[in-house]
Amino acid sequence: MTAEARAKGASEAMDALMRGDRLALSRLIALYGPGIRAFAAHQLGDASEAEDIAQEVFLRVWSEARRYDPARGAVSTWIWRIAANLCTDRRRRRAVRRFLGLEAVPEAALPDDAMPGAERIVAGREQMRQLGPALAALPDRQREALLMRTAGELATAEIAAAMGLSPGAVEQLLVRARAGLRRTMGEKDDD
Amino acid sequence: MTDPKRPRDPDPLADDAFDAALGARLRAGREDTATLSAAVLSRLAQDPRQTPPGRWLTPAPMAAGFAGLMTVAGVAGYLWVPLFGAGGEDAILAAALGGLVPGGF
Repeated sequence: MTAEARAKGASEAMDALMRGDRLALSRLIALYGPGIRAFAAHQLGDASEAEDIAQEVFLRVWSEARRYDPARGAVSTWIWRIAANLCTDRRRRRAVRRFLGLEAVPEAALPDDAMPGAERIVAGREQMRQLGPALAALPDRQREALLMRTAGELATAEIAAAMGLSPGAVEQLLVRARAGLRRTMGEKDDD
Repeated sequence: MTDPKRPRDPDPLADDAFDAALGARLRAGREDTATLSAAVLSRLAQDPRQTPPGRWLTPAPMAAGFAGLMTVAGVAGYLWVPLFGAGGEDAILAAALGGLVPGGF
């Protein structure tokens, strides 16, 4: 699906949502759910927590749909800002809980086992085992921008609006994030 | 002729290909939105006006709640003292001075 088609679909779904149409929420979930799941999984390093965050994002979209103002930004920007803020809040709360010894460090985020074929599952898990720590090693802002670009397929302007930065600053973050990830993955391949 | 020592400009196509490959890896196994959709709609069906409780446990709402309680306590204190008349104020003053005296009274 092209970015334009997705933006149009999201805008129509948002209009329906503001009129109280719950099925429109499913359309938004189909458009942004996979990306937000992947984003949250790698921001939090925990697949089950990512599922919880994804649910919370869309519950928030439903409960605050009337507050969405199209003049202030695209639907994607609004939804991704909610997702980014929820992940940031969760990370902060978790950092406090870990500091107090109330929470253990989770295992790396892995894809669901719902993929068809045992080989594909094993291959996917192996890829994620290498990729997860490499992404986790990036600075927070670089990882956030890179995940919005790759997992969310957002354009630079959309990422800039969601993160409250200029497009130039986002490009800088993306260049550094790609370089850091290539370097880390390259080192792993050399081992 | 280009200088071979000069670093090459980043190739935007290579970046796009990198992003697309990374995105495909990240989303693998997460494309199915039926379960997510069902879970969200199910939670909405339980209580459509629900607010996630964790939302109120963030620092800003907690600080606002604390400030609100302090204000209510302060106002209640000012309203409470006149109920005892001047004697009430004297009693509070005496208690405050008593705390300063060694041994108290």
